[in-house]
Amino acid sequence: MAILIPTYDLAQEIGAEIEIDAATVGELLSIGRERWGKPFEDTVRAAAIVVNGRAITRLKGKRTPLGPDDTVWLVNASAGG
Amino acid sequence: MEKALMAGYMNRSLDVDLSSGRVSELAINDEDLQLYLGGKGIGTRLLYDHTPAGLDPYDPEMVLIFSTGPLTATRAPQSNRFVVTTKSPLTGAVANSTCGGSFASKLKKAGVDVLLIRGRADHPVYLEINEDDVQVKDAGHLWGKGAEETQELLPKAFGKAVIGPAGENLVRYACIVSEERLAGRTGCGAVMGSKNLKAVIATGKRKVEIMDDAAFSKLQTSINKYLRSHPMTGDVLPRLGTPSLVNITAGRNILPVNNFQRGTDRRAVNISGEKLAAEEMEKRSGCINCPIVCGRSVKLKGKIVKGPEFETLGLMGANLGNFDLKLVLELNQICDDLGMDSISTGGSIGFATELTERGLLPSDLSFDRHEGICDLVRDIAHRRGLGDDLAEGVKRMSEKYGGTEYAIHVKGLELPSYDPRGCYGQGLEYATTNRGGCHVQGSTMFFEATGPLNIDPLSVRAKPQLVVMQQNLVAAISSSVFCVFATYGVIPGFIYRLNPQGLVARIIAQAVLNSGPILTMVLKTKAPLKILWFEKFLSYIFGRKVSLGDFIETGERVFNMERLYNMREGFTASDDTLPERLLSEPTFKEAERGVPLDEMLPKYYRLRGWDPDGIPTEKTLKRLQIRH
Repeated sequence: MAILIPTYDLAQEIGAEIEIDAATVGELLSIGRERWGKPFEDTVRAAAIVVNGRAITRLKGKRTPLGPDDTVWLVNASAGG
Repeated sequence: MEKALMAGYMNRSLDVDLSSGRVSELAINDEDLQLYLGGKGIGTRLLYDHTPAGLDPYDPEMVLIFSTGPLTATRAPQSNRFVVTTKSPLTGAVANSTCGGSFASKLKKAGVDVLLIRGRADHPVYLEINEDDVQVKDAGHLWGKGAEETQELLPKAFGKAVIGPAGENLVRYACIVSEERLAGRTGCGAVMGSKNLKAVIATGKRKVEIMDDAAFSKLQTSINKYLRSHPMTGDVLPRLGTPSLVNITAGRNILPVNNFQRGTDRRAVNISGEKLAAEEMEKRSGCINCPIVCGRSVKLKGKIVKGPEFETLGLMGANLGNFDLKLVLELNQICDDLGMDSISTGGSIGFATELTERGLLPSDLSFDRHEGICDLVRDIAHRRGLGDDLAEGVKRMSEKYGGTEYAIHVKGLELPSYDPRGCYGQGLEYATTNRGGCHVQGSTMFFEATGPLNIDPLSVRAKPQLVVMQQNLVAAISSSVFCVFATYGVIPGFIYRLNPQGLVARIIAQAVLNSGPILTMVLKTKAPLKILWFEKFLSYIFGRKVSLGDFIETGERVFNMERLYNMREGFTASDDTLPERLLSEPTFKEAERGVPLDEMLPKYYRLRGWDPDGIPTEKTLKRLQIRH
């Protein structure tokens, strides 16, 4: 079971920490789309998908494997000082 | 023959000696103004010229410099800021800090470009400046008061820069407060306190001469519109402020937790900017002429007070194992009123907590319990008990109690809330920044982890180039003086709208990562065009062309000037480093160590035109027209 930490806005609809039984990021996304529909779809289109701190674009993309200790964060861009 | 007046400046600077009460004109030659502009640049030049090598920061002869820039008190967006420059009592290196609010504008409207203060009053005083007069006044009734009450007790019409009890008691990271804004880092407030100077207040109605006022106004209108429509400066920062970085840094594994022992914690959502906005925010607040309005006001114990920035949420929150948002709000308000940098405060308490847990420091501190922490912060400002040790900062505490390998500072300045083990370029920036471990001298992490692109944070490729470019740009911005948040508008808005996993975003990020050789060429080329709004505003105000190349070169000059000052004060290449924990303890599964600084530093020195020992070559100094 990987842990999904959604963006704050999405968390208001689906919860702050969700355990998902998925072998890859792609599977996790499919489950998310099926379970939560458009709000989930809109969020993952705008947010970076990060597994254990690494963007999936720097891993194996949607084929990035997920294990029981892995945490998947959805994060938006920001800036500050 | 009378000296010709320069547009953009009031052509009057002051030298105030608090020991004698004498006020005289401070001579700054036009060539220095052209080379260093104002703000941080002219402040550093004057610090170098007006103090002998090795002068103690608390020596009465140390100078404390308040400098405006050519754009201060104009309508240019994000330009009403001042810079304080001195020698840091925390680091022994150059100290500078920029601050918003209205003080900068009012100081300049009083007809003052630069205010240089030296000497020490024999009793607490404040300086009152208007267009015709400068008076040193008794501050006995203000001494001991917090920053908020001090400002309330001073005349309303004046812009104010004050210290709280932390500055009076020489806490090495005391800051200077102006309205709700702070010149926060490097301990300028302690130097002010050492001079028995409680406040500087100024007012006036003079106008800044702008050579091409029509073009200036037109540009102002268009840039305001641009910044308001930009996804970052027009949406994310106004809506969520800097606290929006909490979730992002936690997700990217770069949020310091328990004194940088790890880079993430799922509880971070409890102190996130989104939660702050949804549950605590009362209103937004901003500086004069700033379309971003990034400040947050929150309700605390029935009173509306300034809300925390990301750095406070990180260092007084996660870094202490504290995920209680209301407690962070309270700690933030206490730090601000005491006039104390919350980054260094959080860094120092975090370090002391780890020392305690390792049995090296007898105290009740714990990453799991936070009772009494508000009182501890007050004890720091008043140097009571353990607070007296904490007031010395992490570096000095590690020299007394041990734990140097996890004493999280660079050159003595406690690190901000981005763990560089997840953004290697930011690690290089921390190591090389002249005022020490600071994130706003380049903000390379924005390109690596927190911004819209993901220029592989765990790669060293193109990072030395990016760091040099960003440091030069920010040094120029801080000399003009603009707010560094202006730089976030430089990245075109469409990039923020890309799907981060999409092909276009990936291609752009990869192209930047592969662009090292091109960036090296760009760094060696002086662009003859006006491209960004910064140099355009300067061109219109001066009535002469300032190209992007001129602007960036000014930043490079200022950065090298700071480096020369630090070298004169005994700093060497061995100080361009990171804490051992950040070099050797990985926070990512696939990493074998922390930041590979040794792979980036030699290239960085070469790009800067420095020798292998990090010393600027004569050729570089000559090219930059730096006298020394």
